[in-house]
Amino acid sequence: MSKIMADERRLLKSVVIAAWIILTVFLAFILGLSAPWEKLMGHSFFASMATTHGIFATLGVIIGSATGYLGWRLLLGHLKAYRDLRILATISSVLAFLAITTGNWIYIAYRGPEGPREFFINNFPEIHEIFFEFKEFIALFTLPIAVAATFILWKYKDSLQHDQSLRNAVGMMIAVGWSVLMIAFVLGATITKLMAVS
Amino acid sequence: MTEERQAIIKKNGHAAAAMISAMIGILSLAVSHVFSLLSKESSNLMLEVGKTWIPGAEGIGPYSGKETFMLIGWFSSWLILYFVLRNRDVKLSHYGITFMIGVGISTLLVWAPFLDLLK
Repeated sequence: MSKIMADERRLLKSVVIAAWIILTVFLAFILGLSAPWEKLMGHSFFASMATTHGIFATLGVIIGSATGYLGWRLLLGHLKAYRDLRILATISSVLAFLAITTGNWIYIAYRGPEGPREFFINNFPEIHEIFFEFKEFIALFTLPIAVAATFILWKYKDSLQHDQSLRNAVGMMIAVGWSVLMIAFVLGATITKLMAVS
Repeated sequence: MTEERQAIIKKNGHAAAAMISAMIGILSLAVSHVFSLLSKESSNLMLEVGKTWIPGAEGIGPYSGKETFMLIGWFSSWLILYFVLRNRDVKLSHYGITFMIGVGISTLLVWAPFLDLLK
């Protein structure tokens, strides 16, 4: 009796997942083909790159925050989902790399003639000299920290749950990584609100 | 500690190497930033270094060289520390404190008001 119920539950779960995938693909197809992407992404290469950078940065904050939460649980010694943490940390590292490389491209427009840098230096010099300068460097901190934490999570995947000092080390690195990620994101979003690249 | 648990726990030298090399990379970035502020020649050197491999480096200026020094500091120290520490069991908390201090110093070195205080 219980075997039949378990089979039914598995079947229902498969049906729900299949329906969700079919609906998502269908909607993505319709929305993807009919959306005026050029309006959303901007009219220039740099504007499109800025949108892409913003998407990677936002995804980085979402995934990075989930990683940060699991990292905090790891630090406290309450974590059970080691596999989830490894996967999220890996995605965070990839997103840090993508956000930095796209950020490099939009920095060209930022420094270009009539770009935000010129505007800020002429009108609000502190925005460039203090906040942007800080943001452009602190954002780079995320990559080595995320990659090192990810490396340790994979390298010591079997021994992590038995080794308190390793858990402390990775938990601390994830906490530092999340902090610099949030500083970079908040400053980036705020500065973009004042003047975006075009 | 049981034999089984001892077998699972690996030597932690690899973790120390990864942690400290990340800190060295970050510190290299911060120090190269300070150097670029000291003179026009240093700033130009950063740009020339960046131009050797980063597409569009001319557009991002000395920042490209600073990124390069970060990568050089990070990867070269990782390579060296990997071989130095791979078979060693170290006091990881000491490395963690070193990491925190290094990242803290780097943060101060890229914060313009702090650099103004040093002038």
